[in-house]
Amino acid sequence: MDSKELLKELCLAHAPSGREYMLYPIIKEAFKGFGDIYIDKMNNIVIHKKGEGQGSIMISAHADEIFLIVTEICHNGILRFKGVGVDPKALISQEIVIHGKEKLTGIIQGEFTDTENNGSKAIQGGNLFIDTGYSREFLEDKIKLGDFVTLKGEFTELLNNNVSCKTTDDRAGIVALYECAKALKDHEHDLDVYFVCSCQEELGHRGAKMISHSMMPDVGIAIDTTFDSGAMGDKNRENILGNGPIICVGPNLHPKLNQRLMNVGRAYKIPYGVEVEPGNTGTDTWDIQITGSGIPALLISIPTKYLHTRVEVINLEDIKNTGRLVATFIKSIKSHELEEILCF
Amino acid sequence: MLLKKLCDANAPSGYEGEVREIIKKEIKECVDEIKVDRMGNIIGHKRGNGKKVVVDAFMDEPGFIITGYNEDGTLKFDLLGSLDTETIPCKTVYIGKDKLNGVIGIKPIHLQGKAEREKIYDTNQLCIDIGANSKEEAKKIIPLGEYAVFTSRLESFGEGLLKGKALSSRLGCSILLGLLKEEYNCDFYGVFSVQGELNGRGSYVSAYNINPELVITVKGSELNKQNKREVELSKGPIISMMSQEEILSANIIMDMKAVAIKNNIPHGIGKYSTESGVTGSYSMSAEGTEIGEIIIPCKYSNTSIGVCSLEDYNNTFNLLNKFLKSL
Repeated sequence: MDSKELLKELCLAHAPSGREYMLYPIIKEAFKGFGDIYIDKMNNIVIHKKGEGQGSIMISAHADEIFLIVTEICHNGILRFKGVGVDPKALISQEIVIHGKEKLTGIIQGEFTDTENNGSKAIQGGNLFIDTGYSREFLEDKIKLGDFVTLKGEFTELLNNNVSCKTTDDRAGIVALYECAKALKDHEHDLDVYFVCSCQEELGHRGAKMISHSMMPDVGIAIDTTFDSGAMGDKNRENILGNGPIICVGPNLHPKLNQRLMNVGRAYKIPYGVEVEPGNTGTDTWDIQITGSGIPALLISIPTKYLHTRVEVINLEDIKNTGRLVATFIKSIKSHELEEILCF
Repeated sequence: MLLKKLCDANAPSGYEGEVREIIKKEIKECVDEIKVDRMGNIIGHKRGNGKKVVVDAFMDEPGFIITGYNEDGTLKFDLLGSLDTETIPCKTVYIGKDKLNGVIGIKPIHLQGKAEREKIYDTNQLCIDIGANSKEEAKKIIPLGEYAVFTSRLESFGEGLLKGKALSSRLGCSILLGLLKEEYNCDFYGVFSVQGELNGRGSYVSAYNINPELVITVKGSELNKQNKREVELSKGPIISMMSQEEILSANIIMDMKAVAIKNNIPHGIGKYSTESGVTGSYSMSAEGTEIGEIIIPCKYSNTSIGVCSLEDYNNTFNLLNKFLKSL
């Protein structure tokens, strides 16, 4: 399958935190033939490809997405909601999908207050509502409080291999897993490889914690999205779309393993950048590292513009290069070296 | 469905070409004469013996115009027509005739300070991203003055409702197309005007050229912006009492109301029109014409995705049709 097509399918699908099984059929189909596939009790999806030697590596990308949750059914087709990880400004005049007994479409609108001094308008999340166009009776039959709501996406191709959609965070990471699995398919490698589509990352990387504990791999790598360094990104970084994946450096990451990863990138001419995170990386890696007796962890991120909106922009080449980098890294590690690489 | 074709067409103020072509093709068979005047208004004339009557619907939708380039290859823009600016962020747009894809992003919430989180962005803080890597690349691809519109499609919504873009103008256009396929006694001019979003500038010219005795304008409009949650649709079209500039002809209001009652067409009477528009152009530019206005009630019509009722749309057509037959 073409990675662009897979990204489109994954991004347009809906899987709010705690409902990651909604993505399982797509992942099962895409990763068919790459290894044993299963989903655990908490919705972590695992693809296991056996290695030739000793030792194991886990590569995780989170499956869940930001979401809203219904808190009140009002008259005239209106629903009240609360958001998780969502900017109210990014919700106004957006079409959404309500996951009730059946999927319903809604539009988010709001009532806006004028700020006192400069005449510009202000918004609080509580002033937003969902309009469904249905009667209250209909809604009460189809929807209950606590039902999930996700953004309705539109997959848009831009110039220079950039694409825009909702939830490239972190479905792009899953596509990178796919690219990696493809690159490893007909190759022998020593390490056992566990590709993990982890659950509940947006609620505090909870799935990574669970799956690391049950697997205890020798090495754990999270693949996630990061800010770009453009006008609407984080200007203190050097992350440019199209210039390759970003390898994170800081206390959350294993220094020797990171050196090895960069050496592989250089040797195989896979473009990459570096970003520095002095504390919490805010990703699966944060939890992988301190699970059980400790797991040497790495973080590779794909630079993304306008994160946590319906129009996240990401570069397809960056996704492919992420998959290549990880696959090459895995192939490069021999079982007998593992102890030495991980030893301080 | 013709209404869908009209709503999904890309034609902001001053760039009405795409809708103009659809309409010209559509009315060719049913009018005696088609004229496109110097402004770009389409005038479809059905000759008759009675009063000289104009029904005017404007063709343009609110959109964007490219005004410059940022260093990172994104495009600066300004508004064409009236849009609720808080609805602009995080939308996809089509740019120009070739429909190049663009998106309007915002800074991720993680990077916003507390004050920034609650403030609605001004238009000049936003940009359109086409995926270009540099200012030079963007310049080569998109000329200054190119237009852009939202990408929303017309689809059914809720119970008997429709959602889509450009409802203010294209609902009226579609109704007027239907009227031109009917037969009336009056000397009937169907005017599809340009720049309705810019205070009805196109209609100044059609008013002057035709100089009608009676004018009815028809458009979609948001009934209540202050209390959006309470607005109910499917209660029938609204016969305007007054628009922004002028009090509309009492005779027409009474006649229309009588037609509505006689034919059992649900309707309302009121002052709802919040934007100045086409009616003003006729009162300023034609010589003592009588003017009426019918509004198809909408929700969120000045945004990327508005909502209207199919029943209201049909009843607006019925009311206008019966009214014209009564002349």
